[in-house]
Amino acid sequence: MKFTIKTKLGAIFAFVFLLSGISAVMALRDLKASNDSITELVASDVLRMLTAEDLITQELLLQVNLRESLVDPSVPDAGRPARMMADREAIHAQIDKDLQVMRDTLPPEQIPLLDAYIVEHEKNAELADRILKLNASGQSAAANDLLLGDALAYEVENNDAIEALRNAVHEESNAAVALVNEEYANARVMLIGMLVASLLVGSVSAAFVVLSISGRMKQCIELATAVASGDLRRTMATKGNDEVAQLQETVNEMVLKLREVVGNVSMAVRNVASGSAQMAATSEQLSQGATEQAASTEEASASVEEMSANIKQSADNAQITERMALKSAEDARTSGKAVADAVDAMQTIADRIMIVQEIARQTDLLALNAAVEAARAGEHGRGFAVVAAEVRKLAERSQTAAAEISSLSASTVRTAASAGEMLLGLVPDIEKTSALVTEISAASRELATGSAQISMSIQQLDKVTQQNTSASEEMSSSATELASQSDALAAAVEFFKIDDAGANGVIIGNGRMRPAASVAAARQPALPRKPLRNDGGFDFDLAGDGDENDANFKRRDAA
Amino acid sequence: MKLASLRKTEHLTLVTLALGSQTLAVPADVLREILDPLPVTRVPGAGAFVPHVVNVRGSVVPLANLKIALGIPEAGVDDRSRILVLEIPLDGEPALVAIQADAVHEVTTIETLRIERVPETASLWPPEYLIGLYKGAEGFVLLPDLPAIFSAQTSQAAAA
Repeated sequence: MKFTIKTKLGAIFAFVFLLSGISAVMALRDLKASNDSITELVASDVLRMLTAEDLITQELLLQVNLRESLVDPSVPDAGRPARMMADREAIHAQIDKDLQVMRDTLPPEQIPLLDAYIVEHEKNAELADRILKLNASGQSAAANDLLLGDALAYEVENNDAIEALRNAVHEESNAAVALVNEEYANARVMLIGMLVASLLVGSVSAAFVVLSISGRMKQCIELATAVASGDLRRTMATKGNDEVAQLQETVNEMVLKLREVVGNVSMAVRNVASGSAQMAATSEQLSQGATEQAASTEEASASVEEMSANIKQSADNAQITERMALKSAEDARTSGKAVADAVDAMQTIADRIMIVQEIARQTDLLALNAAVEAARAGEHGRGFAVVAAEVRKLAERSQTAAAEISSLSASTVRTAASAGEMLLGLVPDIEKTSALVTEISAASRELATGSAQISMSIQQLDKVTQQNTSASEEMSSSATELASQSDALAAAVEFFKIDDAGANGVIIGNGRMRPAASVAAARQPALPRKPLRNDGGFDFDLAGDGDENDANFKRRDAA
Repeated sequence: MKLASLRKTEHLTLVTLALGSQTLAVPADVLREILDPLPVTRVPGAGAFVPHVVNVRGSVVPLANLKIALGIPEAGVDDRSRILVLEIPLDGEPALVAIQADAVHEVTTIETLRIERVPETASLWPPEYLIGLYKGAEGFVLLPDLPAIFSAQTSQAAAA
């Protein structure tokens, strides 16, 4: 069970409310009792009292009626006795009614008083009847005597009895009032006791709770004040397990967390300082490299432009070569056709020569036969034989010549055919050459385009490199600025004290900051070290001893 | 025909022809005609010496192969081959025969004195087939005794 403030306060209030409730219940109960008593008092005691008083009155009225009945008026009234009698009857009826009421309401112990009264009342009534009868019978003197004699005594007794009853009733009502008063006193004492108890319990509990809360709250406030002033070295002891204890624990955790965070921040500040110094150096190198890169890029740009011109020249040459190769292929094809025509012509010549050869052969045969005939003719055929021999020689010569022409034409045909084949074989080679040259030409054009793009890219590269140079210079100055900012940050973090080493700030101290800053300053000798806060003014050092010029100013003053 | 009968005249006109590597000569007066090779018709049952007949201007003429008789190896037909139609006495009657020649060279006239007898000891040639030989421009020219060859071959064929 966790005793939180809520639980405690709830318990206290519940207890107080319980006591109040009990008080209220008791008060209500007492009120009800009082009410009952008063109602009783009003309803029965007062009624009895009134009835008793009424009985006394009626008795007196009876006695008055009796005396009036005995008195004779000066003016005779015949109806008077009857009226008096009627009045008397009415009074008796009232008395009977009252008696009945008394009998119904009286407590049993007073019934004997009532009975004693009734006895007296009847004795008196019987005497009165006797007196009235005497009076009615004209014996008024006897009646008067009786009245003044026994009747008076009876009336005194009767009155005593009724007064005794009335006194008893009165006393009883007084007792009832005393009882109500006693009940009231009891209820008051009880209620006052309850109130005192509630006050005591409530104030003691409230004091306990308030004290316990305020003490620990004060501790919390003190710790928070310490944190506000940058002191993170302390925590507080916690006890209990209520909200205030939780608050304490939370504040403790906060302090621990803050301690850790400040530690981390100071470490980060150190890292930032060294990193910014490194960054300054690196950006310096970067700037140098970018400058070199810019120079290289310009050289590359010039080379690429030269290359571009060469490639364009190559592309033009390749186009010319392509045209020449196409023309060569066409020429070779035409030559091949011409050679084929020549071969056909040679073939035709060879065929014709064959005919000549055949003619020569047949001429030879004819000449031979002619020679044979001439020989058989003997002397007569001698001249013919000579002619035949000559014809035969001519035929043989023409045959030989034809054979030579034939072989020559055959070899020419072969040569021409092979030349034609070679020419035709040349055509695909030339076409292939042409195609290759076309490809070379296209490739050269692409190369020209590519080199133009390269040239453009290099120009862009040049631009980017220049931007890089300026950017790296900016970065260098930014790194210096960052170093000073990290100094400022270190000073700001110094505000927090997280261990007993004190304000010297071993963790976040300037001792570790200085090297980085000094490195940055050393790398940027041209840049003056910026003040921590640049508020646009100058810092004049007026505390120094001055220099030799000060004396001159003094002398001028003196003069 | 014998050499002695030849020597009755002073000169003799001959037609020289080639059979294989040999040069032969036949007298011009027995030669009727020189022809280009003709379509030949095989005679059933004929011997190797006269296997075919040819149609010479309507006459059926047997075609003899002297190479068989003279033992000269066959060399085939080329554009120089010729057929010589001869008229020679066979069994006392003149008859037309044809012989194949690898080439016909020329018509020449020689002195009969230049014709010499074939040595008896020569075993290459049957001596009765040759009349004689003479020295031509390119070696010896043989003069075959055609009637003797034909009658001998014909009788051999008949005997076979």
